[in-house]
Amino acid sequence: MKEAEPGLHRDPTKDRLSLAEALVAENSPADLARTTLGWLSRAAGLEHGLCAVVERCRHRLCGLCGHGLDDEEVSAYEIDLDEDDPLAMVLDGESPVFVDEATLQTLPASEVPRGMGPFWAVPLGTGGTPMVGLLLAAGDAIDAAELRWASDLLGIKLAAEATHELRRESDRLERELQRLEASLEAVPDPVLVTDDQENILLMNPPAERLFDSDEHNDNAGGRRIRSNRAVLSSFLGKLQAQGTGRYTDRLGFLEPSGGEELTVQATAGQVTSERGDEAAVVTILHDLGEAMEKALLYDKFKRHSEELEARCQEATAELAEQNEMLRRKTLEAEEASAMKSQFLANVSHELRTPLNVILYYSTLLRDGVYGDLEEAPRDKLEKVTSNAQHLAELISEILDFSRIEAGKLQIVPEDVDLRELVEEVVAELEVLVDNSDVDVGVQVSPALPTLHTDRGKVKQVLVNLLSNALKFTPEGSVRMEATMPDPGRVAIAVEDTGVGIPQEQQRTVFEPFGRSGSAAGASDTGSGLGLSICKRLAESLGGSLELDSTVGEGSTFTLRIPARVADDR
Amino acid sequence: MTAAAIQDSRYLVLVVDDVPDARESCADFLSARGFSVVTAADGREAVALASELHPDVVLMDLRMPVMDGLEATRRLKEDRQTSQIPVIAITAHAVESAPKEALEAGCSEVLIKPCMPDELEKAVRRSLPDGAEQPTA
Repeated sequence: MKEAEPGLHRDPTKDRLSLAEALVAENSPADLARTTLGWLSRAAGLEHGLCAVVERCRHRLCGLCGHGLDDEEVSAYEIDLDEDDPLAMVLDGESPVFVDEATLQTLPASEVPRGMGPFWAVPLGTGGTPMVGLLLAAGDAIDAAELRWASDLLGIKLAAEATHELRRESDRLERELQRLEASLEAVPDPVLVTDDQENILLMNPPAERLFDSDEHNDNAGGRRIRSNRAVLSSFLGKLQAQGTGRYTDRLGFLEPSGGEELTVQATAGQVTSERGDEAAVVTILHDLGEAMEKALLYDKFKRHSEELEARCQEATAELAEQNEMLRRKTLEAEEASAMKSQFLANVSHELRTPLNVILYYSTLLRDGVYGDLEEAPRDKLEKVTSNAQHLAELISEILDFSRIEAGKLQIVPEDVDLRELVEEVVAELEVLVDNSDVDVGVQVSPALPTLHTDRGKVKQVLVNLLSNALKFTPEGSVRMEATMPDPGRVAIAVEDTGVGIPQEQQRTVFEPFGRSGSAAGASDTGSGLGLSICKRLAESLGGSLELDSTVGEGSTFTLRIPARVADDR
Repeated sequence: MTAAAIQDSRYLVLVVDDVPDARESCADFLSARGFSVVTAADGREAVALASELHPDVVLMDLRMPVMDGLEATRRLKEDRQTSQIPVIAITAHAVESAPKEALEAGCSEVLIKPCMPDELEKAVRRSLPDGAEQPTA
């Protein structure tokens, strides 16, 4: 190898300036190289020249631009640089090397552009940084100094361009990485990228939680993370062993902070580089735990629901039992009530026969059948008779009441002419009416149809109401009026101008023995059962008994019954 | 005997009751009111007496030993000799159906004990043929 001799016919300074200016103006590496080669051909005696650059990320030298060579030759120039390759050694150094004829023969054919004789191989680059390419320059009288100068300039410019390019690339990568990280962070499942040594290159926060030992300094947490890493490592090992580039398995990890078991569906895929060798493994851990948690929640919910249902059934059963008990008690109570009523009926029955004897004989004695009596005994006998009669009425009412209470009341409906019935009622009370000072009036609306009801019961009520009215009305009038205020319903009102019933007693008057005791005349007649019997009779006929009364003005009792009652009762 | 008693003694009343005091008081009362009275202590005796004496009316207690009032009434109604005699049932029965049964057996009327003396007399008179219904003076 020898130093090139400088050219003689030019002004080197002026030439160099022109190259520098040209290179400043150019930006693309190919243009830089073309300009430089052109300048060298003029200024340094270059006959054949080729500028090749080291391609990024590859240990490869590629033709960029040529001089005195056809374009095909330039673009075909591609050399893989082994470490002991002569040109590689030139690149590793900093100085130009002259490849003479003998050396040329030792080079692989591919490293020598076709038609090029011995040449200068000049590394392109700057001191301290990797060379960006080689300049191959051939010429019989090449000016080594110019060559060296131009190469340095081109090298600096190319390196600067490469740096720019690298920075742009780096920025782009940075942005891509950020985008990737943002995407990964948005994934709720742990995602991590590992290299072929199973080192973690990248992971999202959920993955960090499981595998990042910086997060847990305490022993337990660290131990769990080591355990997790071991599980992951074993999983990745299986991926490698399978060789299909993809592997799925169910894995159990430990939550570092709490130690809870996390079951995940792990899926790993190998990401290969452009050159086909494995660059990284992406692993996604789908958290089945959440699903399991949901399943757990569902189980819990179901259990609670079942418990609730069981309790509900229990409560229902209890309720049913209580209902049954209540029903039994009601039956018992009804039975007891019926027994009580039966007892009352029996008692009143047993009282009747002797009472009849008393009634007959007191009447006969009073009538003087067994001899005339003095006024005093006659008077007393009168009291015995009237009280015996009162007692008889009382017993009758008790029997009626006990029958009603025992539910033994039978409704026997028949066609009833109300006018006839009312007249009969008045006739029955003839004695009372005759002995009274009040004016008794009866009015039956001609529009009334023939009723279909229990004649005896209606009569019983009316007799009771009318006799009450007569008893409690010292003077004035008593009126009985039958009307039909609503279709299908009959109202029979018994109105008197008697003593009246105080407001507070108007409700209790229908209760057994609830009649006003303070009302004038109340103490000497009636059992106190009459009105409550009437009310029950009215209800048994599907009707009602109402009271409207003002003390000192009088009372009106109104029996309201349907014109027709059903036969089946 | 009062004037009324003489007046109505042409009517014979058969009083049937198993309770002696009840039977006797009823008979005494009707006698005092002017009726002729015979008594029987049970249904069988009543049927025998009625066939023999043909009373104008029978006051029949319903609940009696040997033969009850319902059966006795049915017997009387079955016999053409006695079927025309009105039978008034007197019952102290606490049973609701008693009056209905009595009417079905052939009774013309049912009185519920304790019946007021005046009511009894009225009922008897109602059962008698014409002219007996006016009350005693």
